[in-house]
This record gives sequence, structure tokens and C-alpha cells, in this order.
Amino acid sequence: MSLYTDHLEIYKRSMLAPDYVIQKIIVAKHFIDNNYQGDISLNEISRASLISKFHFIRLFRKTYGRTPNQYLVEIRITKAKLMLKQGYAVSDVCVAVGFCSITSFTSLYKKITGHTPAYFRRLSSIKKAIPDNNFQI
Amino acid sequence: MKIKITSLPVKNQDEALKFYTEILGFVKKTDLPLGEHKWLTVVSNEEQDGAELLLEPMGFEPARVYQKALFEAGIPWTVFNVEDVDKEFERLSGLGVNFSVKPIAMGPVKITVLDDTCGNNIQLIQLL
Repeated sequence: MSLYTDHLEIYKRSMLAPDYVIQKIIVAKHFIDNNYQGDISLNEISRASLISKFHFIRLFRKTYGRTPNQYLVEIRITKAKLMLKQGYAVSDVCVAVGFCSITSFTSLYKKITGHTPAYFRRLSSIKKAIPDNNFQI
Repeated sequence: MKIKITSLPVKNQDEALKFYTEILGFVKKTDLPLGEHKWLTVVSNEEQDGAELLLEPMGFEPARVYQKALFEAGIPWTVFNVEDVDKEFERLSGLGVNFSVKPIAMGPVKITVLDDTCGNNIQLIQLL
């Protein structure tokens, strides 16, 4: 036992929500992980956890440190980044990761990653063509 | 402003490079001689354009004291994300890595803590 393991025990006992609640939130997160490509609503996500919508938002935030919507956007942008690296067209990526409009996709992508999807795709293809360069994307 | 580099104090840069590349599986990114030491960074093999981890030589006595105190208290210096904590635990145990915390679920995450042999505890974390 160390100071750190003692702290972990205290944290687990006194600061975490009960296990059965956490399990419900994890189920909702998995629902997002498996359905981010579609037009999923907060109602559907909270239904997956069997918790009322507003209580669910609060619990999700308490559990993961972000709102369900923030998490959904985060996962969509992560998947988009992977697809762009593989060379898919921006419009195809936009639809594939569940965005309805290229404008909102582009602006969110830029806000989160610092680049537009088109710029990132271009840079990735250059990097692939010249693998020994030292580009930072 | 962007976070591109985060640093980790190590007792010996060459040994640290060996551990972080050959055992953990990171990839060397920058190796720049700077007199007695070097500017040495590694990146994740799965995200080579991601943040760099600077393996920083221990050249400042108070830092040595701080590192030792954290290590003895079992407190991780930093945290790395993995897809599957149990799998990494098995893989790294097989390579002789010591763990001070075996895989344990902590609410929405599963964690484990390993000894990097360079003076630090490192926590691996999996989002459940």
C-alpha cells in the first residue's frame, strides 16, 4: 500500500457515484461510441442509460468530466481525423461521422484541432508522400 | 498556444529511451545533442503527430528530491491512455515491468500503475 493507493480507495468510496449508476452511464457512452455516425439525440442517449434526460446530463458530466454532447463531438472529430488521414473526401467524412452540414463540421473541426478538415487532409497526404519530413499536424 | 511537448524527468536518458521505445513501444522523434545531455523526445507509435514526451535529464537537485518523493508515495508523474489496460498489464508484465497498482476499475476508467525504471510511476488509463 502507498499514499496513492490509499487516496484511490478514499476516492472510490466517497467521491464516485454508486457502481450501478456508473454502469448506466458507461452504457450510454458505449451507445455514443457505436452510434456517433447517425443523427442521435440526447433523448436516445439518455434512454440507453434508463435515466431521465436532465439527471443523465448531470451524471454523465460528473462521470466523464464533459457533457454527452461534448463527448459526441469529440468522438466524431477523432474519427473524422482518422478518415481524413486515410484520404477520404471532406464531404464524405462529414456525412460518415454524423454531421449534417459541411459548414458546422468545418467550423467545429477547426475549433477543436486548429485546422480546417481540407487543410489537415492536404497536409496528411503530403506527409504520406514524403514520410521523412518533420511536419507537425 | 498549443501543447506540443510535455516533460518527464529521467535518471538516465539512454536507459529511458530504451525503456520507452523497446518496452512501452513509443517511437523516438527528436534526438538533439546538447552538451552533456540531449533534447530527446518520443511519441506514441499510434499517434506520431501527437504530443511529444521529453525525456528530461535530472540535472536539478530539488527536482530529484521531488521525483523521489512522488515515487515513494506511489504517485504517478504522468498518465498514458491505452485501449485495454488488462492487455497492456499482461504484455508489460511479460516483459518484466513492475506494477505498483494492478488493473482496477475506478468508476468510468480502469487504471494500473507501472515503474518506468527511470524514477517515475506511470499510470495507464482506459476509458470504459
